[in-house]
Amino acid sequence: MMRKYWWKILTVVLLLYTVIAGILLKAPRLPILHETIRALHFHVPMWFGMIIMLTAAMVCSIRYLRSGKQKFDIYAKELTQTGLLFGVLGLLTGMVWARFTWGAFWSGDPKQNGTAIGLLIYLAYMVLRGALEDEQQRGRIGAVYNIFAYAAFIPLVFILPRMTDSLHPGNGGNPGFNAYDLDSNLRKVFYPAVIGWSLMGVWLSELRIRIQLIKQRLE
Amino acid sequence: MKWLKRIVFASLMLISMPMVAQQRKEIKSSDYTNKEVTMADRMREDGHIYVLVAIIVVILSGLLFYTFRTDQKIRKVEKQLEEKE
Repeated sequence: MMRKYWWKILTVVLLLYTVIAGILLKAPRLPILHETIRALHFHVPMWFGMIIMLTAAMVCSIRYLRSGKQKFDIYAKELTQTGLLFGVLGLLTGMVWARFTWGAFWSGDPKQNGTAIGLLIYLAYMVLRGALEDEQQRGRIGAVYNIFAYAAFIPLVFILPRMTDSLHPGNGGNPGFNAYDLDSNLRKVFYPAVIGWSLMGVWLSELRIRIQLIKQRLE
Repeated sequence: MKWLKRIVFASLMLISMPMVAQQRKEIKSSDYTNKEVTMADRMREDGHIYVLVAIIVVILSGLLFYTFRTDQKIRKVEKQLEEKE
């Protein structure tokens, strides 16, 4: 019992710590960022969580293709879905932040565009799955698509925005989170925040996976 | 689920690599004391920030507790299903 629950309790503890310490602990006073530097503990972990879940989904898709076991297809689908949720939340929080620092919700920044295209690629994965009736066909085509989606997503989010000037903190001489070496005060909250939010995503995926597995057994 | 934890761990390691590799400006101790950059100092002195923290903590705990209960409910259904089979 406790063996299965310990990481969920850890999630709760880390997240509560994140909101309390993230708001109350001392943060450096930096131009442009001001008090919004605390978004580091909420906005950035969304991307970490998303990448972790999408990576896990991609691995599941490969395992599905190799073994043909239905459960891996379910894992891949649900992990991708939670990954998408985190991605949308990251994009929305980024937009709110951009409105008050860059002046507009959307400024066609390479980082914003890349992420939006990447998320649309993954949205198409959901549409593709929904369009296929046959379980095996859906599983196989979905898995192949998912692996390609991952291969397209990584350069869109991590490589292309870094090759051009971007408004995003850390790019093109713009001060911000990434431009600064995180100091020990920020790290004290940032690392637990990343682990906490990522575990939260895994937890939500796990719940949905279990529901799908029950459904499968009932059929 | 064991392999899932392994993936999470491996991903965290991978993601943290570029953070070490890139050259960045260091945050100096003067960044904590300067007065040019405005922060919500007033709100902190007044203690209103604690009201905000309390509200966020209550809502987050509520949501987390609800998730926990959902988890237990799913476990119950799983057990019922096992007994049936």
